Parts: sequence; structure tokens; C-alpha cells
Amino acid sequence: MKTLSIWQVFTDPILRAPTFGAMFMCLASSLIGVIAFVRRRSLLGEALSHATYPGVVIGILFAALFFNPSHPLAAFSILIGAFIFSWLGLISIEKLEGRLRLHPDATLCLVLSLFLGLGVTLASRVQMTHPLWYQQIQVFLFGQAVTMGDQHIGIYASLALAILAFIVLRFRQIELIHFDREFTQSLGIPMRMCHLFTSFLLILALVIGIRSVGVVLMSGMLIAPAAFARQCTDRLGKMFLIAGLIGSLSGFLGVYLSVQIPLFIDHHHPPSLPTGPMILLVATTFTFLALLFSPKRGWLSRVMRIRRFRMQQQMDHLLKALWKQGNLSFIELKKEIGLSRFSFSYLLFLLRKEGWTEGKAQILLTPDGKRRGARLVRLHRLWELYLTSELKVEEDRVHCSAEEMEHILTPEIEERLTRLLKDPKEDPHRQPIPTREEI
Amino acid sequence: MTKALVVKKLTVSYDHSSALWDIDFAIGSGQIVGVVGPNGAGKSTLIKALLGIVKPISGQAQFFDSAFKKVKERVAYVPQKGVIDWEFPTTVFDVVLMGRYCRLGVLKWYRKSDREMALRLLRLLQMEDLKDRQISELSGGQQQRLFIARALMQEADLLFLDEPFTGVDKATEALIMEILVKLKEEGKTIVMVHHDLNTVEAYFDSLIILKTSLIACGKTADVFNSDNLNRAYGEKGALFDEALRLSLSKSTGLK
Repeated sequence: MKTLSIWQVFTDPILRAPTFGAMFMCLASSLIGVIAFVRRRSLLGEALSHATYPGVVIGILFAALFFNPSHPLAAFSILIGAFIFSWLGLISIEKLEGRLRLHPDATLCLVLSLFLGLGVTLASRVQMTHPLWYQQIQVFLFGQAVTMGDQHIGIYASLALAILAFIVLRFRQIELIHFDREFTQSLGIPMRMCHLFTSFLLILALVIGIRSVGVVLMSGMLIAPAAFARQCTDRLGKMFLIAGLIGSLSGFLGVYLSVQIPLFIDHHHPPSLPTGPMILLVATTFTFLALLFSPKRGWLSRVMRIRRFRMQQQMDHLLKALWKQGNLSFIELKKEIGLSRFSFSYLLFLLRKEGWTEGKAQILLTPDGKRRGARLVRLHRLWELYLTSELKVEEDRVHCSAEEMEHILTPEIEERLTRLLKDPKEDPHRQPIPTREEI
Repeated sequence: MTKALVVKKLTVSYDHSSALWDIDFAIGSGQIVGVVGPNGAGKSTLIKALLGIVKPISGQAQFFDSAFKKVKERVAYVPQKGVIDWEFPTTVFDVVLMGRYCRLGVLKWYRKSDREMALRLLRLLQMEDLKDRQISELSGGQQQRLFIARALMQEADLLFLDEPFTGVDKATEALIMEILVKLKEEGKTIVMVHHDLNTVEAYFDSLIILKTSLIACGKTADVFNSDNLNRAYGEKGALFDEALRLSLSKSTGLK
């Protein structure tokens, strides 16, 4: 077997079912995951996916009575078992939180371990009584898409599309209810039905998903695409769209890599690689990258913005020094700021490039640079005056605050300060404030 | 003249902290009505019970001589600022449009007219250039104006506001009051929970003074006096309040 092309994954008679299956599953779970994410109930999925496990075991026991392991109805019986137990999990969570007043955190923890424990106990019994079927139960723990056949795809595809349809048709209601509960109630919209239906779909998505991602990892598949999407947009509609795309892409790449990587390692005897963890690794990698590099909220862009602001401050500092003392030589100006020769030269280069200064050995302000310097000094002194005269801060403590504010104050705030202080001419240290004509 | 709101024998228990006991009052239309009282007097609970957010133990409310369910399109509500998740992925424009939810068709697609109206209201509240902001990027005053805009989108005849002026600057407060007065002149009725007693006489035509039970309801000039305020804010009433709270916690099995 040689390496696969991407196209082959969709057409190959053995691989096409797992590929489409994983993609539909991931689509469904990432869409529902967006709702769990914006409700800040990410862990609910974790508890409910673990709650499916005893259902899987019982479903298999039921199937063992009537079918052989490869019968399509066997898969159906497992799905129904998983669904019922996950729903029981949801009911126990609601009762524990509501009637018995247990804290949500503790409730989820309790339900998760209770149901998983029950499942494991049942499974160890099945290992002895139905060794043939035990293999199937293990599959659901960590997921194994590769063993899916064409007959499964119909079931999974229709369930995933049902979820998609619900979200498209009920989008406004979902947005409204999860954003502002009280306002929704004041509109007289029945909350109970929508919540019930959302829970129904959440469990449905989990049940579809455990076949390829597994009970243990399923909740990651709910949240990772949603977290990715939140980094990219501030609107719920786009979040659904992006999460759905990233989810499906992770599903596809997960299957593709779990086939490709073993082939790459050993061409003749490829080791087996579970699909579930691979799908999840892909999805969380996407999320992690988005957390680092998304344009608006990512870590990198925040660091860049901080750097740019600091650089701006340093440039402004030099402009002020030049404005106060006329022209300065390279050496004199460098004393003004504690920087390495290299960074200092770079700052000077920027100042020249932006058109504030001219000259390399002897540095002069351009007319534009003079106006900017005057503006900075004006803001600095206005702010000092405001602090001392209006807020009664002591004179020797206002300099630091003004050093910062001179870079921040907008023309509107300057206008308001000017009006409040009645267009002053002198700052608290009896230094002249540059007039508005100078800037 | 039909009354905008008639409340009969309303009793509510809520969160085991603020409760209402046997409330009766009526509000005529075309005025601004204040609801005042000390903390925990049940001011917010009153509005929530009227709008069906909290289920009352007994009693009933009539809006324009009908039950709330029948005239819910004519009633709008501005909740307290604290109750929503400000990090929710939604923009200013989206939130304002939510006010039109009940008027939309089955698929709830916004029409051009809805968008025009939303823009008009944002302009009225001086927020036009903020329309694509995520809502957590707004200041306190802007957040409040946003929810006023959403309520105005509903074009209701009866408007409930729950402490709209907490954490809001003076300029916004004046702007909101100006808009409310204009609404009143169009014949609409405004009911507002309020906590600043200094502005009561300037803002309200009528006043409801609450402290678990109804202390007074009537024209501001008639009921806003030291006698009623003492009964609401003074020590005497506290005893009744405490006993009632104790009785509620007993009956729900907490103690």
C-alpha cells in the first residue's frame, strides 16, 4: 500500500465511510459545542458523554441477543442505549443541582464518575460473557472511525444534518435565549421547549460522536472548535459557521493522518493509530494556534500591540526632548533614553521615516515634528494642571501620570480638558503650555 | 380611560431574599411611574412577577384590561445590567435588533425596515459609530443606552426599566430621561425601578413605594412625604419584613 492522496480518502471503498462519518460527527458536535461554550457549560458535555458509556454496554448486550456484531441494527441499538443513559445523566444533573442543591461543579463530577464506574463494571462482566462483543465496547471508549462501514453513514449523516437544520432554523431564538434569559421570558417566549430541544441535540451530538472520538475525549470535540471560532469573531452566527468548518476539517484530517502516519512510519506493517485521539489532537492544535495568533484576541497580536505602544512612547519621548532643546547631536539625544545603540538607531530611523525629524549626526525637528512635540508637551502639562487643580493631587506626584497620559489622550479629551481648565497658559510648575495654534 | 396596569393581591416569594406580600395598585396610562423602596424591598421582583419571569404564589396583573399573554407585544422590558454575560459573542447592532424578535416571521430574518429602525434608534441614543462593537467594549452608560434602544425597538405602550441609572454618567441619565419624557408625551406609560430619592420629584408623575408590602401608590406630590418614607426606609417596618422572611424559609424547608 502506498501513501494516499487526499482525494482517495473520499473515494476509497474502505476509507470513505470513516472519513464521511468523522466529518459528520465533528460537524454536529462543533455546532452544538458553540451553544455549550457560550452558555459557559463546557463541562456538561464531559459529564454527559461519560454517562453514555453504561448505555453503550447495555445496548450491546441487547444487540447480542438478536444480531451478529456486523448487523446495522446492532449499531442502532448501541446508539439508543447511549442516548437513554446520557439523558438519565442529564436528569440526575438537573435534580442534583435543583432539588438537592448541590453545587454545579460537584454535580458534574459526581455524575461523570458514577456513570463511568457503572459502565466499566458492566463492561468487565461482558468481557467474560460475550468476548466477541467486548471488542466493540472498547471501541467506544477511545473511538475508532476506521472500522465504520457504509451502512453507518446514513444514520450519522441524517442525525448531523438534523442538528444543522435546527440551528439554521432556530438561530435567532438560540441567540436570544442564551444571551438574555430574562428578556426572553419577558417576551413571553417559552424557554422550556427550547432548552429541552437543545439538551436533546447536545446528547444526540454526543451519541453520534462517541463512535469516532470516544466517550473519554468527546467533550473536547464540543469545545475545541467553539473556542477556535470565538477567537476569530464576535458574532454568534459566524461562530457557528467557523466552528462547523473547523470541526469538519479536524474530522477529515484526523482520519487522514491516522491512516497516513502509520504508513509513513512502517510501509509494510503499519502500526494501528486510533482515530479519536488524532481528530482531537488536530482540533486542539487549531484552537491552540488561534489562541496564539488570531488577529484580534490572540496572544501574539496583543504582544505586538504592547510593543508598538512602547515604541510610540519612546519616539514621543525623543520628540519632546528635541522640541524643548532645539537640535541635538546623536550622543546628546541618546542620553535622553536608556536604550542600546542598535534600538536607538532604529528609533531614529523610524522618526526620520515618519517625517518628524531630519539629519543623522545633528538631529533637527521638521515643522511637522515641531507641531507634534508641542502637542505632546501641551497634553502633558494640561494633564498635570488638571490633576493638581481639579483632583487636588500634590504637585510632585503628577509627572509620572502625565508621562503616560500624553500618549493616550484623544483630541476630544484634550478639548474637554481645555474647556474645563479655561484654556490655561501655565502648568503647575509655571512652565508655559503650548497654545492650540502651535500644534 | 383604561388603566395601563392593574395589580390585584399579588404575593411572591423569590430567592428567599426579596418577597412581595399582598400588593394592590393601578397605574393610569401616559405617565412616568417610579418604584422606590429599600434594598430587598422587592422592587425588581415586582417587575419580574408582572412579566412572568418569576411565578407569583397568588394574585394577578392586567395590562390594558387583558392578561399579559394577550398583550405581550405592547410591553417592553429593560433588565438590570448585571444579569447578562457581557462576553457573549454579539455586537451592539445585533442586540438592538433583538427587540424586533416577536414581529418577525417563522425564520426570524430581519427586514430592511428593522435595520433602518435600529440605526435610527442608535443615532437617537448617540451610539451610531459603536454599532459593530462587541458589547463588553462599551462603557457603563453606553451599555445602558444599548438596552434602552432594544426596548424602544419593541415600540411598546408600556415600558418597564429596572434601575436604568446604576453606574451611568449624568449625561446619559439626562439623555435617557429626555427620551422617556418624549415617549410619555406620545401617550406611553413608563414604570421604572429607581434608587436615588433626590431625583424622584423631578422624574416621576406617580410613585409606588414598596417594602415587601405596598406602602403607598399615587401622585408623587401626594405620596412622596416623610411619613411614607419613614415607613419604607425606617426601622418600624423591618420587624414585619423579618418575620415574613422567616415564614418563607420555613415553608420552603430551608430552616
